[in-house]
Amino acid sequence: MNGSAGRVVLTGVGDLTPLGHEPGALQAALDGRISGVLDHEDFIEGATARAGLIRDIPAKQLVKSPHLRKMDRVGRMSIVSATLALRDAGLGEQLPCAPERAAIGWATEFASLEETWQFQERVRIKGPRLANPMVFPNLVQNAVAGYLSIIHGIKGPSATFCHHESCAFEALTWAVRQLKLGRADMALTGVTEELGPLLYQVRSLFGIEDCPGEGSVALVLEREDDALARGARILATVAGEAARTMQLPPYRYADEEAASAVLDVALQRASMDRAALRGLLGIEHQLVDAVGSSAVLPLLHVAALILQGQLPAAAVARARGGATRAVVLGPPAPRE
Amino acid sequence: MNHRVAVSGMGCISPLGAGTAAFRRGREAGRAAVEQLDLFDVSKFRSGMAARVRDICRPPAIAASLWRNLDRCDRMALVALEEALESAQRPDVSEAALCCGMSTAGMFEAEQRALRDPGRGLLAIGPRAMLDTIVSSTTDVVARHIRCQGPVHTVSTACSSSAHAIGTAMDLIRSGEVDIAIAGGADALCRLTLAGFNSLGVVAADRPRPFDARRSGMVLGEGAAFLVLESEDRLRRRGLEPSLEVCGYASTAEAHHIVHPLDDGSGAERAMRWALEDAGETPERVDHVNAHGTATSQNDIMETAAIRRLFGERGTSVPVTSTKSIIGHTTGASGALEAVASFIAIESGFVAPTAGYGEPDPRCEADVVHGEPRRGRFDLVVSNSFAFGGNDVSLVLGRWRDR
Repeated sequence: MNGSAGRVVLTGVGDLTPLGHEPGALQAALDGRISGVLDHEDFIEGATARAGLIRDIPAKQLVKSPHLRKMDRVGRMSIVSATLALRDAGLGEQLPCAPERAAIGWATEFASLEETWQFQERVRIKGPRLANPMVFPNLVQNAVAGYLSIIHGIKGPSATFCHHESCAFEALTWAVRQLKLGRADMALTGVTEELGPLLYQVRSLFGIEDCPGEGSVALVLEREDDALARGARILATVAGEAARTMQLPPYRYADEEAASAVLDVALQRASMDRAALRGLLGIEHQLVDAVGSSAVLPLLHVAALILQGQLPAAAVARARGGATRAVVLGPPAPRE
Repeated sequence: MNHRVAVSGMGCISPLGAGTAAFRRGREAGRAAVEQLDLFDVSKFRSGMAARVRDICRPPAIAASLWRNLDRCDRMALVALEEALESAQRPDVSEAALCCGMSTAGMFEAEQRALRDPGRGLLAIGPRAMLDTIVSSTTDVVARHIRCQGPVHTVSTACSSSAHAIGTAMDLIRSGEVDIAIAGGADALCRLTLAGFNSLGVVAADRPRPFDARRSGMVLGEGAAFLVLESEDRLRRRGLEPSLEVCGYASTAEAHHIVHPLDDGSGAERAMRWALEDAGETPERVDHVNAHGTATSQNDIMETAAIRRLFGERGTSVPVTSTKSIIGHTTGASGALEAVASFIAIESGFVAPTAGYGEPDPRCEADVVHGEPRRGRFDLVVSNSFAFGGNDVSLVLGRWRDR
């Protein structure tokens, strides 16, 4: 999984956040010029909600597919980020390999939580015989991976991961593994999180103080040799990763020291030391201010590090309960 | 480095009772544990048939104070886990990876609370119970119980979740990232899944009859199963001889439909073929297929077509059985429970019958084991788990042999 043999590289990034989906939006937010976190009067009845919400999901503009009408917000958000990532990788409609050699590793912590409870409420009020068969398939956590497979014609390995805030890095490392083991030649990995009124209010009940957000981020991964062979632009290498679980109560996160130890293992596997890092944890707080907090952040952090070109760099995902993952990104290898 | 992955322990709880012994006995007898569900009011459902777990008893290693606060899914997970650890002779799991597959976790308890204050949804159940509806909540409970510090994964791919979890754990050991992993899954019955599958019109009015012309659909179940997986080196260092092996794993996406599988079975065939390639095996070596076997016409016709595509002339003579005919479709837990069923076939020398099978569906030509168990030597088994979204997973499970 780590080291330089059979190196895996990043060739495309796409994101849909409260900042929008235009390439310059994330940079503008990192520069402190804009923020997607706003006060919303129409989100929670009778209250002002401060949150990073996505108002426009341009799925129809990007993709023509009859399946779009069956999809909920989570699915449509995912289609946007994935399609943008594929286009960013120069792929558009065409995969760089046979459909059977392309993989999907997706992530979500809450999946379609709002739709799930709307479905439940309909069953309670109208009875189970009037449960909507069009909705139920969207409620499984891997619905997004299914739709991505259908719309982009991906037929290789597919899995969906959900472990709290570390889920995006679970999916990323799974996708890297599929490439390293030779099960796939290209992988689409990403994360999607939706913030609805229900989740917003539950977070308030928890007493969670940071401002919530939503979004979707996708990356295209390939083996370096394959990417070079097709003349792809290489954004970064996945140089190393590590995962460790601190046994903590359900609401607690690993502290700085523990997270730092996980990062050190990832760096060791990447044959790097901390002194080599140019981009590190400093922009995490900027991202929270810009888009709100959700399980999307670790992958958005990766996207931001690539955008800034500050490589080598690292990102750490800390999940409730203590699961902690670190990913180290290296610069593209110089072309010979 | 490519480490082989030995199975040092397994445990389960199913509608047949707690423990692998009850699971083995019940399946050997071919007794379907399907009944009218009495866990909640099913009078308004098209079909309220299901296979539920009746007694979930606290294992001695679990404190009563902890047990009181756990939902049914967590409890079943811990029962299965404790048996797995015990049968593995209590290995040191402090550095173990944990890979859990599930799909609804504590949804049943959340529904109960929500019904007490209708209209408020999750707000009625409170933040603590809300945590339990997140699929990772059972993973957290297991992780805290065994205090493992290795990588933790929660895989949620509906009906293939725990098969994925086992495959992911196999990969972690194979690659040398860890030398021990706990892998499996759990799922409990709830209104959401029963209403959902009812809405799709696929729940049987009486019992599941996989591959049978009289079938009227699937029946949901619940349960949990866990495996203790170790590298061969580690197991031998503990003075134990490997006897069972997770040999291969593959998943595919069908790129076809969010619910319906490809009729010709090409997606499922690919998962089986890739898993065999991953295991370094060939179809000729396979002795038995533990089918996904849901008893829906969409699955059964597709799956038997896939088996015939993969095995060619042997496609109608390789013994096939459906575990779901006996314990129902345990959704997120089914992949792990059926892995245990496959290992029991290898260890005990029988393939359990497919309950309810008697009138072969001519569209499902296959050697479906029925009536009595099929006795013999079974060294290599393919276990299938297919899910919504066209997500097909196959595991290749075998008796340990020198290579």
